[in-house]
Amino acid sequence: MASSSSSSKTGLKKMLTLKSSDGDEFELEESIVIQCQTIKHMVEDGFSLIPLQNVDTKTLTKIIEYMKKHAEKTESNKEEIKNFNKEFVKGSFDDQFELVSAANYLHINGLMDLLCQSIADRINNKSVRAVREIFNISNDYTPDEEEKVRDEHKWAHEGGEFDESLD
Amino acid sequence: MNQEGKSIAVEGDIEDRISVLPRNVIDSILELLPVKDAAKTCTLSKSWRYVWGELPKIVLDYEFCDELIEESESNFREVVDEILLLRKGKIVKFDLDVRVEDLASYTAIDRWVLYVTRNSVKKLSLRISKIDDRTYTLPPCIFHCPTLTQLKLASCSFKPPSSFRGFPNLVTLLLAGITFSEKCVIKAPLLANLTLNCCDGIQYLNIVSPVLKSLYVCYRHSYIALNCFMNCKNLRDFGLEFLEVVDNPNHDHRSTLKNLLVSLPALEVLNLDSLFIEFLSADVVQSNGPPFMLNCLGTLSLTVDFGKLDHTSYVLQLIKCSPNLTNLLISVKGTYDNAEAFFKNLKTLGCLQLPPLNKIEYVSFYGFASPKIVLFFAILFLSHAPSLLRIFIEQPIGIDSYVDVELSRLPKASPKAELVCDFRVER
Repeated sequence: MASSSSSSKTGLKKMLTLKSSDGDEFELEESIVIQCQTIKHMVEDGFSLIPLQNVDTKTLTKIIEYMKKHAEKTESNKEEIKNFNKEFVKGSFDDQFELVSAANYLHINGLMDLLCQSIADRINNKSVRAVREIFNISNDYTPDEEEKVRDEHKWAHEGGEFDESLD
Repeated sequence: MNQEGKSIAVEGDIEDRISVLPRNVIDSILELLPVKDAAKTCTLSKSWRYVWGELPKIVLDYEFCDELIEESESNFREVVDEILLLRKGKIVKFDLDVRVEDLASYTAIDRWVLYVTRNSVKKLSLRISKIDDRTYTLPPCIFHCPTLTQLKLASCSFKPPSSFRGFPNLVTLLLAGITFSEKCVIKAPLLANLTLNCCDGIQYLNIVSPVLKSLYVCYRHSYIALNCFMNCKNLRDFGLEFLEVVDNPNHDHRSTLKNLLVSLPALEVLNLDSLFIEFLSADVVQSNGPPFMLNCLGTLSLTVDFGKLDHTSYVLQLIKCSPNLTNLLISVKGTYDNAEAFFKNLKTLGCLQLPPLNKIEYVSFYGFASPKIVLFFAILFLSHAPSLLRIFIEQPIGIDSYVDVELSRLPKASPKAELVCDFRVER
């Protein structure tokens, strides 16, 4: 409903082109794109074609989806945005890591917060082994070394069951 | 669970996520984890060995502390000592929320606070539930910590030493459940946000804060002390709340509040609960309205007892003297619901001659009291507010929505106005 009123004025709005690392171009209204601080600064410097070497097409598509939705934010659709956010973070860990890197590079603070919270929620109470797999970390401690580090914060490893699942 | 080995032995050419994700992202994620989970990451691999230990923020919340204390309070002290000793780099933020029973823990807390203030802490938050009758007394080092920008203190004894010269860099101050029994001057030249939540003896407090932007006070007793804020010309956001019913507010309280509102030309957000509307309305000759204009006010949030006619008419006066009001929120109190008598009385008082409310976009009613009067007000705004976008009304589940039906038939001053009824279980 809010989108219909904004798109009717599209003709008057300044447009920008974002180019992904795969070379695909996306044309968007300036008012949508300036949620992203990095691009906002480039626009202020007079750029209208913005190459994003660190963001591939798949990730950029998702990020544009996020920016478009959040540009519609008003007093009355808070619930709708909340549901959108909930759906938005449902992807795999790999997708989330890609997105969070891009959001960080583009300085989209709201998206950064959303993704960090989602990743934190998902590794909360996971076992060390599960977190290693999720982050793709190879354990380079010898068993003795690992034991020593563990002893340093024994309290962190005590109490409760830890979740071994990887989703 | 038993598929180990295979996936742990990752091929060497697959990059570790820690080198893929920038350090600030890793830090942000770790800061959102409970302390235990964050600390466990040291065990992941050599490159993670000190990542947690270098986080600039230490948040020891109630749940974390309580779990350790349940085992033993000395164990809790040992663990926090370890956490601080193993810390590398600056400590920007330190939060501690704990209920202890052993006086030795007070000594330990003193030690931790000293440690973080020596490490240039900027944001410090302490909530220390008292042991029997002995409230935790803040150590002097807090009052001599020039790096503090944010200080949140709850349930502590706040007695600055005589050498206290103020907080030179403090921007945000929250004091909750603190009793002041002697004169206390806090000079805070940069203070922008102040919250005083259920503190006693506020009359002894003199906070010198020339650039204050936001002030929230929740009172526990009827002594309203606001004199030290009379010169806060930059105040934008102001709220007053009352925890209990007061028997007889005296004249001083009324005039203090009125004088304060007269002296706040930049006010943008105002929150008042019904007691303060009572203070304000008591002195006012109805037809004259309040002796001030709130020209910058955009958001007005009020708790209103519709059973009290003078309250209601005062609310209408407040709206009249706020020409730039866009957002009105009313929490409804009281049981009076005779809309016809109500309407008649307001009309007799001349309160219903409202100017066009040109800027109002959102009007919201919360609470289930006096549904007919709420409806009456909704109609008033529908017919007077040409920019209205939404009227929100909270209604109990199970009641037929007479509001919808009645309002949808009415002529509206604004073509865009929509009505939203939110059905909730009665509280």
